[in-house]
Amino acid sequence: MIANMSSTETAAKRPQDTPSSSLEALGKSSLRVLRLLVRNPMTLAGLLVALLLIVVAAFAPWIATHDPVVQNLANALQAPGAAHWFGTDEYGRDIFSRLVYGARITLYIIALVTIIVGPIGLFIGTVSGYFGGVIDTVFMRITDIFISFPSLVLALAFIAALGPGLEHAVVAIALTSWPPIARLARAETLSLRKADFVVAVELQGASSSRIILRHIVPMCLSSVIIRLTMNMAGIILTAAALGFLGLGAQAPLPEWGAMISTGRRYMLECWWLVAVPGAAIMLVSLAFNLLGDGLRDILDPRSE
Amino acid sequence: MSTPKIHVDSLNVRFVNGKKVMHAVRDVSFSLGQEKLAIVGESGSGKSTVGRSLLKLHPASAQITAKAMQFGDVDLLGAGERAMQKIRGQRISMIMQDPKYSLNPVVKVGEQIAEAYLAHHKASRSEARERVLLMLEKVHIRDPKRVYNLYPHEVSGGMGQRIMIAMMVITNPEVIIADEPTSALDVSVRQQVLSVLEELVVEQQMGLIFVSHDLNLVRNYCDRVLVMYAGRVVESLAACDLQYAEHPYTRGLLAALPSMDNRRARLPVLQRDPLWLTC
Amino acid sequence: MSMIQAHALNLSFGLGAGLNQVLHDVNLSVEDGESFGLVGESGSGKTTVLRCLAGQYRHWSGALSIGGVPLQHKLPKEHFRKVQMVFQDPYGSLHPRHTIDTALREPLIIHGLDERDDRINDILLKVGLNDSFRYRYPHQLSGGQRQRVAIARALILQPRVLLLDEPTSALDVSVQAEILNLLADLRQREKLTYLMVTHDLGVVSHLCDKVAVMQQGRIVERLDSQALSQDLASHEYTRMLVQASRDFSAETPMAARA
Repeated sequence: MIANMSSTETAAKRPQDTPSSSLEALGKSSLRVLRLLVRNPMTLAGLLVALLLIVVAAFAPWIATHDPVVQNLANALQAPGAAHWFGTDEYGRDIFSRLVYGARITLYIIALVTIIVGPIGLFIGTVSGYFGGVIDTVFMRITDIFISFPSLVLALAFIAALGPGLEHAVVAIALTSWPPIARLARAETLSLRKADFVVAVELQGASSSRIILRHIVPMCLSSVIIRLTMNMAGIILTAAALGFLGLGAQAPLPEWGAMISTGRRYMLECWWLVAVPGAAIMLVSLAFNLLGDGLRDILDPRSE
Repeated sequence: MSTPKIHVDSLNVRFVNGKKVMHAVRDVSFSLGQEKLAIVGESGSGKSTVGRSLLKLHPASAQITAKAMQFGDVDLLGAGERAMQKIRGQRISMIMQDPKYSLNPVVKVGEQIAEAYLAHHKASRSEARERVLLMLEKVHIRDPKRVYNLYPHEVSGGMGQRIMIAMMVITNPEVIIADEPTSALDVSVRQQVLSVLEELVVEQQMGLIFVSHDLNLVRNYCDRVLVMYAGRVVESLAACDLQYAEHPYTRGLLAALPSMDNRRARLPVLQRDPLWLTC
Repeated sequence: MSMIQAHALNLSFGLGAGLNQVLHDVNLSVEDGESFGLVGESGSGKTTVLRCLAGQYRHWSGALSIGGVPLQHKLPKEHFRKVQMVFQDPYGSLHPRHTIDTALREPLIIHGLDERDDRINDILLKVGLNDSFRYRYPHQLSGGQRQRVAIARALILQPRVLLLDEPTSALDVSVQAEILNLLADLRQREKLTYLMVTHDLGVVSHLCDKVAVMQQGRIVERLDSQALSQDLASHEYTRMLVQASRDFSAETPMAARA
């Protein structure tokens, strides 16, 4: 009722902002999302930190003050100061520079996992939701199997089999984080399956793949993006945990979790070895959580 | 007409959303006696908003102003949340469109009616049960004892709506607000629900505010009709005089109805006059 | 020749004890260019008949044919060039993230038709909209405008048969009149055959020449709309429906009810 009224209100002033092409219409709606995103201060903070991570990773060589891997034993375990903003580690490497280069590794892991997990989850979820029956049963039982292992344990087992390394860590994390996405996409698809607009394209003779790709996936996309953003925090933590256990990125790569792991031996005397990468991990995962929350408020069709 | 049960003078409702203000109801005045008053209009005309604002069932973003909003001896405008809680359900009841959404799905319907009774009356469980069975009989439910123990999903739409009526009337309210009570129902059960409602209204001397979009239904069922358009009452007249309505909007709505007995090649289309928004 | 034909159409859902037969030996015949109404209350199976013809259910038994061509349980793409459907809820039948242009282009792409821009502009004009609507999203349109778009989408493939599932019951009276007029005009201009499902006897007698009344999955009576309004219905259920809608209809004076 209230919604109806507001729609009649907008009807009156519509003519001035009528888009005249698909591109313009798309631009207008994405501009709206961006505007809403910036309006909420928490979301804005999350967005800024995420952007900062990307900028730092992209311009690492220019931002870093020292080489992240060159050792200088004479300079080991320096406290934070003018020469080394965040101090140095046990090999005399500049922690600030290692943090900056570590952003690259973090971003690499997030990006790779997301690129693997998003499409797999979407594909399995929408296909099993749309077709139902045997396909659904098979896909969902496989998902159940993956979901029933604690993710870190599954990742550990996988790395134990393949050997430690950054790429293996990425695959291991991806392996454990697609099932929630698939379930989410399936639930969305089930609710869309009988929607009139899906039936309408079926009645136009559209093929199943066309219906899934062009009509169902776009509707699932926003909730999947929200979920992926929220997952990024978990991915960062899992990657750090694997690094901490020595199973992720290998020395001398400046991975944040590995930095904490090696730093903990000197933790009591040199707090900065652990606190600085720890704070970075916390900040970035918090930022992605905030961003995900904000995106949910804006994109989720149910909250409109 | 006896002293009015409800008297409303220039009611205005605005929904404030950030900088946007939506003026949903503009200067609506009416009084309700012991009668069946219909508020009709199309979606977005503000008809439901009027019904709800009497019970102050609005989100915090709504601003309600009026010169007067009197219910018996209570000034609804100045009444606080606590005073309103005493009025809602006990003195003014509301029946919604779809019983499916108004009944708690995991509680037996009989218990829900008893709950409504106990909320406003001091009585033992067994007394309440007796009252409920009596009430179910009054709304023409054949086997009250069986229906008492049913869950909402086990009853049909028509029966669900009669159960809602029983629940709303059991507290002996002075006024009932019915918001499209039959538009989710089939025609064959619609009749039944309406006559049950009518019986109770007459028997317990209640006032009925009947919010509807259906002019034909209203003209035969109610005593008086308020026609709303874009938040204003454009016409107020006795239901039996509806065919002599003067306002072009009312006339246009009546003419636009397809009818079995008056088949026309084309239906006249309502021409909206911007003047209606200002007069 | 009859355009739509159904012979001994049966359909049931569930198995064993839960078996629920929703259509019992439904026979229908709609002539070319005719407008046929299916009337009944919720659960009478009227929409189910429509969905069988549209290919939504595949486990029916009996015989269905459109334009003399018998329907298979799995329908070929060409079928959809002949039969299209308009839904009840204008808010649910358009993809919320697709512009009107995308929605209208989709069927053209599926069937590989060219001159897409011209066809889209043409069809928008035909349903009383113009090209300023092309790049809007459904949520920017009113209910009536959305229903016009839904009709445009159904007609853009130039079908012979339009299945109408309560096309106006979600609309306001004044908008309903506009849509009913539009449907009447289009039928005349495009030589369409309509099969309309509704519960509103006023609407059905306005738009349809013939009416079939359904109750609990069976057709209980078939008659002309003319006969319906002249009280010539013979079946008890039909008479009840007529009576119920008369009770609230324009011509009955107030006194009759009291």
